[in-house]
Amino acid sequence: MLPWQIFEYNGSALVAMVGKNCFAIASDRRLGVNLQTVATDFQRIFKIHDKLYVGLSGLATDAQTLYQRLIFRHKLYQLREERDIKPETFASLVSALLYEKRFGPYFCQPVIAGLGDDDVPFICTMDCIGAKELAKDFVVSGTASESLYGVCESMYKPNMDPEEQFETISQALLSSVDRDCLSGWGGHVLLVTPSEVQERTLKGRMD
Amino acid sequence: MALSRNWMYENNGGTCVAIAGSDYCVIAADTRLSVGYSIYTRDYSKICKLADKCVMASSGFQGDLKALQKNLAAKHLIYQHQHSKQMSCPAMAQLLSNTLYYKRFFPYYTFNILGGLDSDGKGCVYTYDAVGSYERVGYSAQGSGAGLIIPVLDNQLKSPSPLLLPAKDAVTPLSEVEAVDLVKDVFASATERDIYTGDKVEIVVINASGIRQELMELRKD
Amino acid sequence: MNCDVLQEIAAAKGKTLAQVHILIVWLKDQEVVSPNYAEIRLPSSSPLINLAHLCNSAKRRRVERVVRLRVDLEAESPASEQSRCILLVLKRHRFAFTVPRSLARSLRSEHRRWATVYSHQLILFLEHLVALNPFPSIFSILFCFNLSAAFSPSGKLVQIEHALTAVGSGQTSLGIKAANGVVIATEKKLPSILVDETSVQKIQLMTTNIGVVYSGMGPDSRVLVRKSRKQAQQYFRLYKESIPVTQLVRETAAVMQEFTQSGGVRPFGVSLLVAGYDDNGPQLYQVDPSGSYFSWKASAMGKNVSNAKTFLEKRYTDDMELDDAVHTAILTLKEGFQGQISGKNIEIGIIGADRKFRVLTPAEIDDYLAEVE
Repeated sequence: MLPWQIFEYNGSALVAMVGKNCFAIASDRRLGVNLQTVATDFQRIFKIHDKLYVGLSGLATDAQTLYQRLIFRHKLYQLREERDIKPETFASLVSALLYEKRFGPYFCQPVIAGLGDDDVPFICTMDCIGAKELAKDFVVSGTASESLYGVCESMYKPNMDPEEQFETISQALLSSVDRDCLSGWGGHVLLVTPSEVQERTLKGRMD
Repeated sequence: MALSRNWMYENNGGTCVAIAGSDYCVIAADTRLSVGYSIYTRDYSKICKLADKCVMASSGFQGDLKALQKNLAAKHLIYQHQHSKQMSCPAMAQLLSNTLYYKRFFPYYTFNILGGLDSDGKGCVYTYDAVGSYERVGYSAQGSGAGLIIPVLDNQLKSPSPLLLPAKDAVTPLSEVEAVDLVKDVFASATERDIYTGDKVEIVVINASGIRQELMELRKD
Repeated sequence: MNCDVLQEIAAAKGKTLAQVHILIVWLKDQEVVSPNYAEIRLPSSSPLINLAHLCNSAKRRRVERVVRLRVDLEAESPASEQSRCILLVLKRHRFAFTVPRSLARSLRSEHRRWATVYSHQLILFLEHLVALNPFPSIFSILFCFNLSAAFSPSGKLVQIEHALTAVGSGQTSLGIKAANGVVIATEKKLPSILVDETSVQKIQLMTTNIGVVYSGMGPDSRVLVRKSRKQAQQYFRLYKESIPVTQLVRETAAVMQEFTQSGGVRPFGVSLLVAGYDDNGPQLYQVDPSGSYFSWKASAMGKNVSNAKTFLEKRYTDDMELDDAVHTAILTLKEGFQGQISGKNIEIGIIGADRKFRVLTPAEIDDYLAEVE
């Protein structure tokens, strides 16, 4: 197995979109070992705090380990600074943690989405060694990233309200994973607004 | 997608899309011709009229494409001489498949879409791999931007799974104008993320009244 | 170890017993002397030392062979006289070692003479040892002793009390938190009029939005400022966000605390006033040598601290503007100031809502002084 194929070992699809004072982040539910499906209710999106979520595509074990380290760092931060971390700051933290392992990286491509000060949405992705990519519209990662790019590029429009955004991100996710052998089995969608977080589960082509 | 297989092949990039409707067919391709990170020309047509109601759009190695087009043109000329008529689109589709498969072990490095009207005047799209495997579908995309475009077309054209229905029943419910607009949209989107797609998109529409061509500007970067 | 056979050998060869010990240990290249000193402690009349153990540290490190000579420093017996001699021998041979202060004080000239006479054979032996050892540079001689501050019977740490005294006798500094900013100010009295006052800067920046002033020992403050600046930059490097004032103050205070508990160091002889402006608005902190810190509306330290604080208590209001705060700061300094106050013998640093900490130039201070009068 070539090193970069490790990213495709479990299969994943992740996407986050910015709306009007809100954001949505969605992932598929499949966990596979190469072409064999092992689990169909896998979680790749993790909560950091009420207004900050991180999705970790790529190798599942690294995603879970990295998540645990992020939780650890965030808890220390919360205790030390007596506040929730800002999304921008958290992105820098993730980046720094990833770069620590520059020559033996976590095989994860994170997607970070959160509401910052004044509920300004923030989304960002980075490669497995922490090069940040701040986007104003949407970010994607995982084995279905090419499909997701195409679909999001066509479907995204700025300043969507949460319901509109739910429709868009769901359509984008389902259309994309149907063209990717390694991701699918429906999806998780999180809609985060200043006042509430809605978590919905999508059913798609279950194959 | 694998780029060049060896020194004999090059990939000149480019994206082709075709949509079949009940009484029309839209075939489109961008006009960029590139190798690696260089753009050779921004005004290269990848669409070729093979018969009155049959056009082919191809991406891949444009050297092979030229040879393929010439080959098909010659075969079509012979067909015309022998049968005194234009080849139908389904016939041309089979001919293209045979031509590609003929070179099974030294293939034309081209990824083709054939579009046109069948003998009933219904839109038809045939999509190919480099060695002649083909299928009649309601819509298709080939080339460097296909991965970006296909899921959008899936979404918009509500394709039933090819596992569930015969593919030829998958003609799109869209009107001709809507189909052309959709093609423009997906090219604009693919151009955003695929460096091998851009400059202009050439859209050819075939319907009962003949063949019409239009061009739309795309990003040049 | 203290057996008759060895003593016989020593006598026959004209060596001391300890030399025989060391040679045995060395030649056998392993630990023959039990590390438990109590069991093998030589009588105080025996030469040299309560013997060190030479151990083959290949067990611990693969290549390095460390010779550890442990000198018994406890007893004020003739043996400790000999210990001092050994120190001198070692010093002469440029062995790396640290001299405990209690010992250094007693290293007088008479010992030197004594050392030369007594231990010339040891010198020869050590030279031999160095010649034999393929890694001479890694000879290290470690003395085990404890120098960290300890509680006095009354439960106080006197070192910290002394540090606070040093602060109390330092030049007056003060800080005032206004509604829209913070001002810190200090006297800048120089030892002589010949000192170029432009070369002295008592108020320093820790980050662009945090400034600091000290009372007490200037050089100590520079150590703290250096460490704090580094801390601030490390924070920025990690989070790409400038460090909040509370965080920096806590880190600085942690350093100061560490220096009250570590061995071989003394507490810092400074108190700091930290002025900053961040997302939580203007902030003023005082950090003391013990490592304790508090947020203040207005505070003073150094000479005249009680007068200055009383003055500030009288003048302070919650809705003070930054300019008023600067005036109050100047007036407070003026209270206890000996001689004519001017832009050259005080320093003022301000930070407003622009979050840029700035040290005022003498000209600017003079302008403020004119307004006050």
